[in-house]
Amino acid sequence: MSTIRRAAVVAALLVGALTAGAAPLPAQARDAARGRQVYERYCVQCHGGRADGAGEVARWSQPRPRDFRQGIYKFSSTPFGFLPTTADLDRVIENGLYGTRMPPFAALAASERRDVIAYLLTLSPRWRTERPGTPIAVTAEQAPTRESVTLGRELFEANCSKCHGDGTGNGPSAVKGLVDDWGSVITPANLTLGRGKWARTARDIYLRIAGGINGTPMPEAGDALTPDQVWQVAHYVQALGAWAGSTAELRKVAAELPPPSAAVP
Amino acid sequence: MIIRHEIARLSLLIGSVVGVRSADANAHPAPGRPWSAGDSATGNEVYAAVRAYERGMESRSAGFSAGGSVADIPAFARKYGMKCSACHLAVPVLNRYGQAFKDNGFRMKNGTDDLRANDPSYWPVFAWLWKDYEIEAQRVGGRTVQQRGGFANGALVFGGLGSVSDKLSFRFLPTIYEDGRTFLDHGWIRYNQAFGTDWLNIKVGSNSFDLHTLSSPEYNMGTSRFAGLYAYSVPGSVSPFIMLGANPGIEIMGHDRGSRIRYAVNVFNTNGAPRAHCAFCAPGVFARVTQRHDFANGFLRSVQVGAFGAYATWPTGPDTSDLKGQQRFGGDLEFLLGSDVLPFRVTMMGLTGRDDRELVPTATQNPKFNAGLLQLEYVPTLPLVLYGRLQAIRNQRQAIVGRPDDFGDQDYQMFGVRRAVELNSRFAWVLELSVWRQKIKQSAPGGADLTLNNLWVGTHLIF
Repeated sequence: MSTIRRAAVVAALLVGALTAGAAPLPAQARDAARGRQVYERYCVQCHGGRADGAGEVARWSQPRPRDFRQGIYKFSSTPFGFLPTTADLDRVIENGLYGTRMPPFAALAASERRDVIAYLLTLSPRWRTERPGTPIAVTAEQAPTRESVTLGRELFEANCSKCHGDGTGNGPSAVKGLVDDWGSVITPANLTLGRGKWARTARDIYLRIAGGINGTPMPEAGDALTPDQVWQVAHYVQALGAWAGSTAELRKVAAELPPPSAAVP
Repeated sequence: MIIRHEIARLSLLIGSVVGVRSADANAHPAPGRPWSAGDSATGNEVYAAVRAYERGMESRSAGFSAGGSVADIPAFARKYGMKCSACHLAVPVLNRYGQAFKDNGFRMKNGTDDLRANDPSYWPVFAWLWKDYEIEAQRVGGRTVQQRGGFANGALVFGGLGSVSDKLSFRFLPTIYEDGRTFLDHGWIRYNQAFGTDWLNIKVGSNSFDLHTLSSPEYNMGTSRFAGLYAYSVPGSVSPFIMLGANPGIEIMGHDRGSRIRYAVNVFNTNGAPRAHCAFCAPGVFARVTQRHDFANGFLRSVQVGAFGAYATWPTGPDTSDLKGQQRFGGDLEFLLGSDVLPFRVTMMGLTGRDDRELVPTATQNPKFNAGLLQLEYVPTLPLVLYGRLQAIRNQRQAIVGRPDDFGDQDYQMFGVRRAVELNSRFAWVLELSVWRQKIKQSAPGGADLTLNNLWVGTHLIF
């Protein structure tokens, strides 16, 4: 047997021995393994090597980066307190959170986002014991009108202005100070900017009113508002700024209405 | 009006500095060369062209290596709190995310791009310090005629770039060499998302074309000097035009949201034009389109197809009259294999060029050439890259009838390794080792082939 042939046989035996003992990883584990690489490339600086939201630059980030170990995600399409769907996570990764340190990763391949989500699901025990919530059913939207905006203003004053004030986030609770579940000081959204961290459209506003924001004082509407009333509040919010779908006419209607009385000047 | 005035001043400054540098590179023979000016005219012509090209590339590589990509932007890491490897496949090669960031005018488009929205301590500046060591052996006809080595190219880059506001991005990039020379290459202002669309961004100033090699920052440090198909000129050409360089002018570029489909069109004045204060003494146009497709599963992760073309002019008359043209057309194909994050990248590029014969003194016909490259990069771990490139240039038709068909043909092979040590989000230390071999047919006196063998070690400290 020539040297080359002997070497080939030894190599084949070696490869066989090594591969025989290696159990193939399930697809989810393979995705997660690749996702860890994605995480270490794009996420680790803020979210940290231990996924605890304490990365190198986290101290300069306000709001603080998410601590993935707890499995609490602020923005989702599911009811308050439930895990988000993978589509919810993908949306945040793809679009980022406006005005925060979380940038949009639309340039990444869909497979990269899929993989990093698979990795995120390994970071909290919640994902092993709970299933994502059922997405909130969003009822059909009626086109915003002067009436819906006016009614929305009344509901806003009764339910939202304690924190959001006149829409700029200057409610009495906000002035007193709000903290999230991670102990960070947070401020209510300024709804007059025409864009939220997560929300862009009236449907997004609806979801935030109906589902609240996990880990923050922003509650879900629950039984306090009917679906039609949620839309009315959404239309009023839409009329406070240049949100997608907002019109100059709607904004004029909102401007002519008296501001919610809870606003702190 | 003030802005226009400042842009004009900036263009003049860039034009004059680059013009002086180019003239200097062509006027002085390389030190220690074994042949005198009285040797074979044709051989010296090519040899001089090669050396001038090398010197030009050396000086330009300084500008390139400090510019053109996000490679030079630890300032971005500071501003956005991300690691260098977030945007770089391996510094300075851009990944998908870095390409999109660059296409967006160095913006995240997330409401945090405006300087006023950032921590007051943030300044959009960076510093880059580099030094390299090179050994070169020249062989003619199989015999080593010269060998030399030493430290070179020590320089400090202290520049600024980024976004001033959501609409305005900028770049300013002076380089200061050890011997006191200064060099200003790229300098531009970009208006982002005209009419609110990503498909229309307008850049004014001196900047690189949108080439797949990122105008050589991809091979920054020493290896950039031979990122050379884009820089090739037919033997004896008087035009200094190279697609690889920064040319003053206007760029219109656009892209979709993920930078999967992109285009760029440049209207420019050829760099080094004899009258730099003349806005369009040597006008030219460049365009490139690319499309990328990502795959959800499988070994083939993505494919990108690109096509480009350029038409540049150069005056052959006593002043700026009698413009003569140069054409370049080509395509490139890029495959990412194996992994999205740690891929094996394969790039192929083909190019054909044709110059007007008036650009080559004593020419009797329009010269033509073809060129191609195969480029391989493997990233086994972050942030380490192993790379290699094979490159060939073939003259299809010589400018002067009777010259050998292969006169001036080139073959080039390069292999190297680059490691970027990311000390933290503010500092990086790049180390690179490469070896290359370049063979130029019949360029030595007497018609012998000239072969250059190089070993290059370089280091950059980036803040």
